[in-house]
Amino acid sequence: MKKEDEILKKCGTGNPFIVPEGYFETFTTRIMDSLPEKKMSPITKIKPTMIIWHRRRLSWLYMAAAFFGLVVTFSFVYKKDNRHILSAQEQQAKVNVQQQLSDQDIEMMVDNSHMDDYTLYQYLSDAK
Amino acid sequence: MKKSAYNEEEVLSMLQQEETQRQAFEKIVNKYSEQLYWQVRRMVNSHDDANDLMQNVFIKAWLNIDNFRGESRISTWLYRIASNECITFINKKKNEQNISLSDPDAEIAREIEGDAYFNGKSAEGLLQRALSTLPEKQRIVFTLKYFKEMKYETMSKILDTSVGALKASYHIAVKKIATFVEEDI
Repeated sequence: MKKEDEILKKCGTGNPFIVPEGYFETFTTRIMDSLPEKKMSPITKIKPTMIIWHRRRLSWLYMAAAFFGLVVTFSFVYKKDNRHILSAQEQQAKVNVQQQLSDQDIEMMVDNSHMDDYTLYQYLSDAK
Repeated sequence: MKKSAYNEEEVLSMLQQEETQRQAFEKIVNKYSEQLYWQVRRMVNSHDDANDLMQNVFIKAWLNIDNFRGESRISTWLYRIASNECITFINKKKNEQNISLSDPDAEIAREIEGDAYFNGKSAEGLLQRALSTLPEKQRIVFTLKYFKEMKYETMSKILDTSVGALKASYHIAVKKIATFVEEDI
């Protein structure tokens, strides 16, 4: 990139900043002293839920309703998964195209597009 | 504190045990504090602000260390926290100071020239002044690429932005900085 080389030549990569004397030597100690005490998060154990079956009162009607509910849920989840897979494939294709673009392609797009910087950035980043 | 040997796998394993967790975190601070500091400093210019932000970054990392799953490198995770902290800080400062949009460059130049720990007369100082005029995300991308030569793929994980957008962002930043530098010389 020509412009980048110009900047490197004129300004280099040196550091115009300094820090107070001994700043980094005592940094870790200062940070560690300022950390709050903390206990490790315990592993959350999921307690099995007590399910009370009223066996005697469970009629065929209930069983049929439960079966119907399962069928509806399954068909909904299946359709949703398919849509998700398609969307993931499209996303992957987009990522592949973006990664294949060379720096020169990007430069040409930026220089020749009639979009302002922000719009182009939004387009390329999916408005993240 | 003297830099000791750092082994990421060993540190990750130590983080899992309560009795060694603090010691592991100390290794992380020791390993990454300096490079993170310079990244933050280039973003916010002032040493005092950079120092406060570094403290926030490590406290946040410490409080959330149990949620770190090791899916990315520790450095990527820390850079992500630091970048978010910087963006939040810069936006907050902009709102507080209500910087005049008519001449933001002069305001930024005055601010960094006033820092006792900044050599504004050098060529590097000129580059830093140019860098300070960029929007915060372009500033992060430029700093990571130009000074650290970080790969776009790694940057993508830190900033949660596509590689294409990062390339475009870097290119725009380079053009703006080149123009600033040319005008100043």
